[in-house]
Amino acid sequence: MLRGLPLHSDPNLLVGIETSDDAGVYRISPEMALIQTLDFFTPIVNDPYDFGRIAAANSFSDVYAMGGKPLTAMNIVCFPVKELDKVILRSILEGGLDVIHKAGAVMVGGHSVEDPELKYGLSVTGVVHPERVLTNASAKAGDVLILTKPLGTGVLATALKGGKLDEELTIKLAELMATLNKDAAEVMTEIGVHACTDITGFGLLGHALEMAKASSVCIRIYADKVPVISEAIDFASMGMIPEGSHLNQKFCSQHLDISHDLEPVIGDILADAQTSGGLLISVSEEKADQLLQRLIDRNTPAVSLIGEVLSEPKGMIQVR
Amino acid sequence: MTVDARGHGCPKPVLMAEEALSKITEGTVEVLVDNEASANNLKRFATKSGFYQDITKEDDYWRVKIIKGYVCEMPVEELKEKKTGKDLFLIIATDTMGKQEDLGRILMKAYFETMKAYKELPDAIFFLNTGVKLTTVDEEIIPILKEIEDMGVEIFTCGTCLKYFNLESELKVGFRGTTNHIVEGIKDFKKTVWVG
Repeated sequence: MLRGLPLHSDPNLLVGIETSDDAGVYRISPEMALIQTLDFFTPIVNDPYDFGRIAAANSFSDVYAMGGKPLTAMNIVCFPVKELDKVILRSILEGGLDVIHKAGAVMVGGHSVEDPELKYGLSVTGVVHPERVLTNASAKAGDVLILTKPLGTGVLATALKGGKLDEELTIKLAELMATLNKDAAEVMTEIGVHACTDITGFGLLGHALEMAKASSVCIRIYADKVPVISEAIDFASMGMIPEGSHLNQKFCSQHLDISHDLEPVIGDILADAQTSGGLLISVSEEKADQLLQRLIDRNTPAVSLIGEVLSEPKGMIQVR
Repeated sequence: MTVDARGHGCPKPVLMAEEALSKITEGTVEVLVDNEASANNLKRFATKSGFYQDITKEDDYWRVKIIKGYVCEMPVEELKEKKTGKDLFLIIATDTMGKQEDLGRILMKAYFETMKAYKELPDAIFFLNTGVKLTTVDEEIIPILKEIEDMGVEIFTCGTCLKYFNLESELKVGFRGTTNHIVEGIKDFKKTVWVG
């Protein structure tokens, strides 16, 4: 979309839009760089408080994916004042605020507009050491890949829209999406990894492809090692797949080498657009066990070694 | 019965189809949708429910026919030869059909056009050696292959060959394939035809 627009370059811009990374990173001193990101969307669950929590967790994710620590957050609100009771907005903001506090950040304000369609999210500022920024462009051949949350939130959110989720599964889904990637990010920055990105709208395949292209490597994923919410597989087989997920699969297809023996539903799940998904971490093989153990100790939603990084063919995803 | 689900986002079309089908013990429900994702979802839903389904692309919408109940509701010609999805495997190992190159290119294009027009389709096509040019840089043939792919044919292109010709990032239709596909295809498909 931005192709052709005149973008200025700046030596302090450490991460811009060129590698389709998660956030912008700008150096302000030799020891500090600012991370800037924002995210907002329409409701995907029925409970306003949960919606607030989920949107907020989603917004912080990019900061964590860059190896940073969030500092401040501002609310972004689009609300149909004439159709919905303000009590709903208050619940949403309460949910957002709970997660902002869990992230150790402060809410410093926000902006709201009247809009026939309700939307909420946050603009977030974080910090990171300029030499320790984790981009998606430094995965190395020989690395292994670790995923910190299970897939399936897109399919389940669609099934929820279709009235097919029971209360237990609805709560499980909301909790998963409202979980910050904070613990996973802290562990990975302590141990030291090569590259990271968070799994959101483009699905595991889409974000892995961005990493493969940016890092000029091949990413191989072992389908049976990818953590998936089991009910999502059934719902996907039944056609509860959001449009975004179909588009993801189409977009990736030219760079995707998926094993003939795998069931088609596997491709659907791997391409499923996630909301507030986990971190995809590329780490050296030597540090993998240590990283996995520490993630387990911190009760990360999923801790799975799902694949490896190869040198060839560059810019490709293989699924076996 | 026709259900017009155009203008509705996922998963509404599936829910509408589900409701319409629940009202009948046997019969045909045709669902109209305006996006490919919904058509694909309906296909999955029908298959999972054990119903026959068929997708036709009209000008700016998709028509998904779902048949519930007795199999003899299906048109007789479709019953005649039970399609297994593994009937014909076509391997195209060249970008020109026959010795004379210019004529060969014309013939190759005519072959795919005829295949498409008569709907006499293989279940899978595998392109290798110079054949990989047809799925990467041949601007006349690529649109025809894309339409053939939309009609349900799986299209693969040899990864090793793409690398050899420096065309790895140029694949425009279908998926990358490996020698595995060829070895297993020859074993699994009822008939394999090798061109070139």
